[in-house]
Amino acid sequence: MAQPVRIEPDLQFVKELQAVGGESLKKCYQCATCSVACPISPASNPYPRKEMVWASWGMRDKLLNNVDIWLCHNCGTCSDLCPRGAKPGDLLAALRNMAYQRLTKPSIVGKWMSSPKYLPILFGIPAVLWAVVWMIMASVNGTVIPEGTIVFGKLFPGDFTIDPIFIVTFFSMVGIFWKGTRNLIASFKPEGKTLVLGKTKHWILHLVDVLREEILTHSKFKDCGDDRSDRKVGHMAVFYSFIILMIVTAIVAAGHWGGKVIPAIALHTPMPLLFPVKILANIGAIMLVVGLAILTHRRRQQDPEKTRSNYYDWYLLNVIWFVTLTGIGAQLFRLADIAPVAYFVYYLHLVSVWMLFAYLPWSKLGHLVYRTAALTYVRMMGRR
Amino acid sequence: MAKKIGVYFDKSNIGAGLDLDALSDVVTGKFGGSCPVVKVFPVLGAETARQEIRQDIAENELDGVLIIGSSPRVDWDLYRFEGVTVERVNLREQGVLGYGAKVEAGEDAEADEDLFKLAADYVRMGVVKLTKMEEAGGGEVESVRTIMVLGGGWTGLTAAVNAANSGYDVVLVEKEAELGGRAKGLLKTVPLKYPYTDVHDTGIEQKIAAVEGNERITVLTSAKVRKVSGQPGQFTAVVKTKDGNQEIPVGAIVMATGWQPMDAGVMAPFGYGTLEGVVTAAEFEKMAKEGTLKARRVAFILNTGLVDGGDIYTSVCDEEPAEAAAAKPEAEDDEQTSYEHKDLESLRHLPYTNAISSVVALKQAGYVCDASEDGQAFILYDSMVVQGIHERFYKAAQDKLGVMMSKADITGVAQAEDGGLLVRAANTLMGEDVEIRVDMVVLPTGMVPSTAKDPVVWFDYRQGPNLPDLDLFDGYADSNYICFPYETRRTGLYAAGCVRQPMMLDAAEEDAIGATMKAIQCIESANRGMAVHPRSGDLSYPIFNFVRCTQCKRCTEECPFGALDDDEKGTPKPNFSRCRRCGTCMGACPERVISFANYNIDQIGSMIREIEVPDDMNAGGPRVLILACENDAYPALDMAALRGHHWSPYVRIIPVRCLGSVNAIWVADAMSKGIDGVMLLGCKYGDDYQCHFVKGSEICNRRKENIAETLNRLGVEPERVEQYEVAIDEYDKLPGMIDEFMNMILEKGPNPFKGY
Amino acid sequence: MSNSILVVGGGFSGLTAALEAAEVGYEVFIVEKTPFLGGRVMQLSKYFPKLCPPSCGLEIQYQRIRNNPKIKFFTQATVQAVKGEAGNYTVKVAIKPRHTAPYSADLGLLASSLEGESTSEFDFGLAKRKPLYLSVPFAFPNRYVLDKEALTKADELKVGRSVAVDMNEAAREIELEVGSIVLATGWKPYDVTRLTNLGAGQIANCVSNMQLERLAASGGPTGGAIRRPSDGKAPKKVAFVQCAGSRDQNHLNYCSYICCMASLKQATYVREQYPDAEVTVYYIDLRTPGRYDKFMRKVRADEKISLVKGKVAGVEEDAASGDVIVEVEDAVKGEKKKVRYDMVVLATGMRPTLADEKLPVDVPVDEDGFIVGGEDKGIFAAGCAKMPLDVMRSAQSGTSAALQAIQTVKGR
Repeated sequence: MAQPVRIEPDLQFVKELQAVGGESLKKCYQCATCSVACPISPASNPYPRKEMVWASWGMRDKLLNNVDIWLCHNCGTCSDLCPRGAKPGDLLAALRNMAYQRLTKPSIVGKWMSSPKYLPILFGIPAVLWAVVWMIMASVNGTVIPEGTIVFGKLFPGDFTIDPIFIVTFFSMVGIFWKGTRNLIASFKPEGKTLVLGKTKHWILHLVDVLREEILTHSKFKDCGDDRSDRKVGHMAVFYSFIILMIVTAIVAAGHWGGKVIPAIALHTPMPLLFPVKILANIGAIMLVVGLAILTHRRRQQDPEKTRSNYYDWYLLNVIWFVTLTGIGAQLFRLADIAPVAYFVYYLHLVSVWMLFAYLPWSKLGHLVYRTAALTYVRMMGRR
Repeated sequence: MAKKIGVYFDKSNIGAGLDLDALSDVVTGKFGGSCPVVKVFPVLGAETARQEIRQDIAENELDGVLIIGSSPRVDWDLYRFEGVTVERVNLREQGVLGYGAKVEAGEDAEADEDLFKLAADYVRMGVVKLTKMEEAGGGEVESVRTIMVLGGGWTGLTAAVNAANSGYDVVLVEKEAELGGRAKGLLKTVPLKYPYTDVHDTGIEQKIAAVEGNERITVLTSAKVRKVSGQPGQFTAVVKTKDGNQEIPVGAIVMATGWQPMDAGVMAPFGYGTLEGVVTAAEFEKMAKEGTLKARRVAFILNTGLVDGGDIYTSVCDEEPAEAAAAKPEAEDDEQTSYEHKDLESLRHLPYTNAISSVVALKQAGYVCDASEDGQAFILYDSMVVQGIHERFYKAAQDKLGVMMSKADITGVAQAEDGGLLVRAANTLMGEDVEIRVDMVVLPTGMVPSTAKDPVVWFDYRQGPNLPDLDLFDGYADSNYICFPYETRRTGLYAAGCVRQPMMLDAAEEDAIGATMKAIQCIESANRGMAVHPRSGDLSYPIFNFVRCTQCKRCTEECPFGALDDDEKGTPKPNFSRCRRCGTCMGACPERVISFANYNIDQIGSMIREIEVPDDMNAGGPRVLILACENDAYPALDMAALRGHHWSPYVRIIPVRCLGSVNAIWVADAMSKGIDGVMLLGCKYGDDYQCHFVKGSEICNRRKENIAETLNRLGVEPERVEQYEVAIDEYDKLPGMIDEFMNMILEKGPNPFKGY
Repeated sequence: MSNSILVVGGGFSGLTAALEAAEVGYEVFIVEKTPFLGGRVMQLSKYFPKLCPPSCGLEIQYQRIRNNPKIKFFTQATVQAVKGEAGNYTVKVAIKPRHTAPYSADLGLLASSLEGESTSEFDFGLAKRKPLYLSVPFAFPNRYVLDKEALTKADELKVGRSVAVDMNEAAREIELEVGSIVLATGWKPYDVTRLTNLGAGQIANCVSNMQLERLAASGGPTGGAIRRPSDGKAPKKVAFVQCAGSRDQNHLNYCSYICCMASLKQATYVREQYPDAEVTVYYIDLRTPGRYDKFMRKVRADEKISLVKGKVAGVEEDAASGDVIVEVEDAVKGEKKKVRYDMVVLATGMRPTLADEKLPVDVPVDEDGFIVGGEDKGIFAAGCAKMPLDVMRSAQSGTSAALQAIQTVKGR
């Protein structure tokens, strides 16, 4: 018999779990319905039954070092069938939330992200940042609201403000993710059989497979809870709209800076409405709205007895709504030529965009990176 | 003894294939004088027919009515006639149908000789049976309307109050100095009422108050029963109290003497007795009650496979010898010292208690978590046996932060380096073998019924002071009948609560009321001279013709219910109200001393003699007598017939109260009469016996061996008498059994006695 | 004022309550909804743990009824209304016509000659029954019932000719004066169609535990031979799915008490009929309390029977073979697998019969339909109307209800 593992229940940790979405975890009586109900959990040591007993027993490390929480795509089938209303799906979500919180420094941000009561801080930082920019330009322009045709560049010039700030923000985010991902991978203790036949592929090739076979196609969404096809559509719409908007941003940036060297490819914002890049941008915007609408509606329809949306879910949804609406709003008011409103809404847009990017690693959107990493990892470990 | 009998044929049921007028002639021909009225009715079930019968009874002063048609098991309600004895001849099921003739109304099949002979035999047997039948009655016992309740715990208190509220006087006997029993030691009880979610106070104090405040109830504390003699309705109980022995007349007894914790020594493999902090659930409850509970982390071990995992159900005898000490009562009573009680305490009492242990662990885990913020309770089970509605308590109890549960096999309990305890477990739900550091380990308490240790009631009966068959249930005073939970082999004694089965307070309460119900019923039945279960209402009882008694003691020894005592010479002393009227005594008696008014040796013997046996087996066919238990085999035969099965027309079936009542003389009569074989159809016996009189079919089987020997000596093949175990639902097999036996007889050829 | 007692329900609890009270000398009325007494246990093949036939005990109960004029019973009867208070109730009872003679005529031949057929509810749809029928050989009272609606034109002529049939018998209503009421309305199997992840009753060879009882019963549709409903094949590999609806707040928010022992018992049915058959019981907790532990160990000792901790959460049919595939996690091994069986038995739980019906009397019931009060009104619930119980406990419950009823009416 293997040397028994000493159990040191961490009830404080259990309380935290209950606080971030796992409040029903003690109700589990280990019937194992959930593991069977889950269409994508593997045959050996399937989740989430074992996670439920670990959680009930306050087995902190087991749970934090558990790759399986990332394999779950949160369809909620397990929670629907749970005879005790223990909501295994919510528990796994809670564990992911906990991971966002603890994976990277500064951990204080993780804390701020865990509860609505810190929202003012999260909002305050970019609000002040962009307000400062506004004030500076106001004194430069000699007026709070610039005259003439509305050109946001007049108030928030790309070259000296937006671009540098976002470039810094973006790359520090990437850096943080890099660290977080390393921590994550390091923490994993492989579950179940880790036998890998044949010569092992390099992780990059696995990553490519993951992107190709799972992420771009959203194949897992299909496998899990097929009755939730609306969820797949919504998530895909948001996902691809992000990609589109990233491309747009890239083109604009390239056009803008590149234009300074090769005038031919120079691009000047605002772009005319019928300009292809602009059209692409607006298509992206509309897809985003549609996707968000679907996802939000779905969460509103959920039976709280079965699945409960936690703060992390609502934070992310709302921030993206914020970004989208202010983005579209700014454009509309610009076209409507209502200067004060247009500039203010654009200001809010910048605030929200910064919130989205700067806090991304601690937000639920972190799964973009962490789940991808985990999926790649399990392929390497041969757990499928 | 019916002298003027009206005989009535039911054409609608047996008309097809039988010439009823010819049958009527058989009756008048043979019993003309005693059968003034013989009639054939087209439909005997019709109200008009019954009107006519009532007229006949009045006009001809009939004292007996013989209904020839369907089985006595049906239409019983139609043939109740005031002031006459009614007998039924089952010519439909076991005649016409069993024989296989068509009975479709209207169709008139060719009358068949064999069928006619069979019918004629049965009709004559029916008439003779009536003429050998007395009106039963006169066995009334002047009942004392007092119920003695043994045990002043939760169950006993409930029984006492309910008996009193039903208008009966109660004597409550409690061995301790005060009332309350074990329930008094409980801090809380698992929920007993809707919504079954939270533990609460037992409320034992109110029960005690209710008893002490009831003037119908006499409470005797520090008291023990020394002896119970007499019979239901008229027991005399000798109770030893502080102020000497009291003689108390009681009508019936409710035994609620509860349980005691099993010797926890067997728990040594879990460190009990060697490791500090390893206690039993009972000990833990005591600490909780006294508020001395300090432990913050407690492991509740429910999986006791380490000690009771093996084959613990091999026969009791292989177990450690009974501790005579435990059973030896105080010396002052020589009556009792002569008897040594076999101590039935064993490992089995651990799994016996599994359901109680499971809920108690949940309850006590709650104590730990409620006591302190960081309280931790680990419940390690094999299965959480929390049945039925109490699942709701399980659900509520597990929802506490500090309660942690897993299926687990305990591999050991050891001292931890820091002085605490380490519980090691394998095959857990955590996916690995674990080790838990705790301050305390709580082991389940096996419940040993008081009757495993002591006869408790100390019957002053010929068969001894103890309840028989206790070893069937490891000392629990339980019933072997799923349908009849209060039946024991001692009439007038009804067990309730944890002395009968391990149970929670809610079940015990219900059980107490149930047992009281039976006690009351027993008192009233005795008073009316009626039998109790299973022949409820039977007014007959065994009558002894002592002139011929040889004091052989067979009847007193074989009575399954210990109804018969005897005097120093060995002459049996009947106790009617102990008797269940099975007739086992009648079957036992070699001198044919014992009889019932409406069921006796002569009666059945005469019926057998009415069977016409052809001298030439090859011409007239063989004859086989079937003596069938009326409770199971007989109904099964009815069913077989109704389901379209047929059997040989050469068998003659006579129902008996129980195979136990079959007297060897009947078999002898049959054989000497030239009958070629005798089939005895009775119930299954053994540990899971189905005999409603406990021992009947088993005893009959034993007697059969002797009969076989006798036959052997007379040069008759013993195979000609065979006993079969038939369950009531084996109606599809039964005809096959009969054919098989019949073929065997045909092979053997005629009974050598034929024609003598 | 009346000192009679009404017992609603002629199942085991009701019979027991009625008999115990009547044998003390009280007048008792039994009102039974179906055409025969005996209730659920009549549908069982054997009792656990003794493996003895229920008709054995019922025969004694019926014997007691035959010998006791104090008991009157009404079949095909339902309580319509109850007026009054403890010690003084007036009860309206509606009685459906039986359409056969008031005596036991053997109508077997006539019945089998009829064309009309309807699915037998008594056999849980496993068989058809004739319009003229007895539900079991031991049916009590042993008098045929005629289901007029099921008759064909030709049948009508046939039965019309029989003296033992009364096509024109009308429904009637009677009034009973009683002092106390015992509600022994019993239970019904949980509706499998609600168990969507367990086949929802659409898979031929996935039967309920009560259906298996009918298959195993000597008086049942197969004469006691356990065969696959789809093709009559003898099952070689059988799985039992415990807690099919029980212990599940989406279905039954309690444990149904009997299913574990029932499945272990049924495992022995299968093993007895097919010595080389394999049986697996998938459970959450094996609930074999007290003296039942011995039986559980006996069954467990059979190397062809395995008991696995893990709740089956998926059941599919293999249309081609008719086999049934169950999906389950062995929780101790931590292995999730799909296993193929010839036949699967769902240990469906029990619901109070009156769960979704309106009670004829005003007594409190809980959210699952169990009766949780009424004593103050001289109304007492017995058996499974009160909580899930086995036969032994139901008998206890009926006996104690009898005394409580007596206490209510005595001296009136």
